[in-house]
Amino acid sequence: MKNAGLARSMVGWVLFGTLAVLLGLKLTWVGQHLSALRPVAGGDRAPALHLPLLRGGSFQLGGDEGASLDGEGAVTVIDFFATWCGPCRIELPHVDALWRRYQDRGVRFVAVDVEPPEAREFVEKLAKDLRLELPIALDGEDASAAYKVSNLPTIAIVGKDGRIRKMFLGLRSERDLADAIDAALDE
Amino acid sequence: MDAPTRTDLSEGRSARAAEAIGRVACIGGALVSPRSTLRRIALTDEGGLGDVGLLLGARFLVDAAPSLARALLWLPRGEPLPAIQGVLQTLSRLLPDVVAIVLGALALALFAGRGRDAAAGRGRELDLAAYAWVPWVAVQVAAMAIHVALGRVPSATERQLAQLVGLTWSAVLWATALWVLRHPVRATMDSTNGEAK
Repeated sequence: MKNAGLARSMVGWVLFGTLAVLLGLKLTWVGQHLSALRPVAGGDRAPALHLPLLRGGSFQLGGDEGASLDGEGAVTVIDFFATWCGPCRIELPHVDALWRRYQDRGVRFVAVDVEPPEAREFVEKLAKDLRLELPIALDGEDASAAYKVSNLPTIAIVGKDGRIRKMFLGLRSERDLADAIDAALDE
Repeated sequence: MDAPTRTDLSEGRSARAAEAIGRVACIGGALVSPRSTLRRIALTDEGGLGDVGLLLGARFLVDAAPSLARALLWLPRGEPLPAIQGVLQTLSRLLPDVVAIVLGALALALFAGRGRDAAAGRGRELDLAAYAWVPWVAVQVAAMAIHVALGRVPSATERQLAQLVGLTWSAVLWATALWVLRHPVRATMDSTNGEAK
């Protein structure tokens, strides 16, 4: 009986002890990688993008500090999505509607699929199902890492100076997005 | 009323330490001697959902520390809403465990039979289902520790294997809990025989 009690305690302490060690290691890792974990947010320079588009051509944005920017002088809306993401499927038609509304005002839009290039056929099907006309970029894994996308959908509004004005995480109303675009245009 | 004396405080600390040791032993007992542990939980006040909650909380922190840090780092940028969204999304990782325990408790209550004696663990289904989930957590922790020691990310096959082992082990414990609930008298006799040895 005493041996059984000792075995129970030992196993319990090994389990909690292992968790304590793992937690210490994980917290150390977090401390060492804080700058990598820090989100891309308003005021930061928008990471550069160079992505192939679904319907041909490419989309480019940004460059190094001080260098000439592709898309400089124009407000840019970048919508990160995935074909398996339910809220993305809800939001994309609204972003498409905003693209139609703001086309004449020089606002650039791109929806970036964060999946590997092999997801092309799923993206094509999604675009057809939702009747999307806005530019859709593929192969956005590196782009989503550069923008530190942790939620889907994530929408970045980039100002005329190439700096991020607003990052929207998760589903947002068309009105919220329109207000942010108008604010960026008015600067 | 007199202020607590040094002896009172010392006894309080000893009681809390004994309680903590008891909780750890109960968790270990679910892995080493499940039948006697589950029987004690069913028939006494020993052990409970809180013990497993501590274990799940610790495992969650290990798993979710980077995601939580990423979410909380929105706060210095003056953006509380993404921080809250990130924290809530990270907390949702606990949902599968919570759902599994609740469903396990409902199934225990359903299959343990009606008209059970009051001593037959009535009202302890949630605690028993929580303890039945301990092997799943233990296997996940062991898998994490092995991969940290090896310095690599687990493959999909290794992850699936760990899940299969954990689920099977937990299913066995759940079945044991059901047996304890349906046969409390026999479980008590087994206990008496065991102690006589």
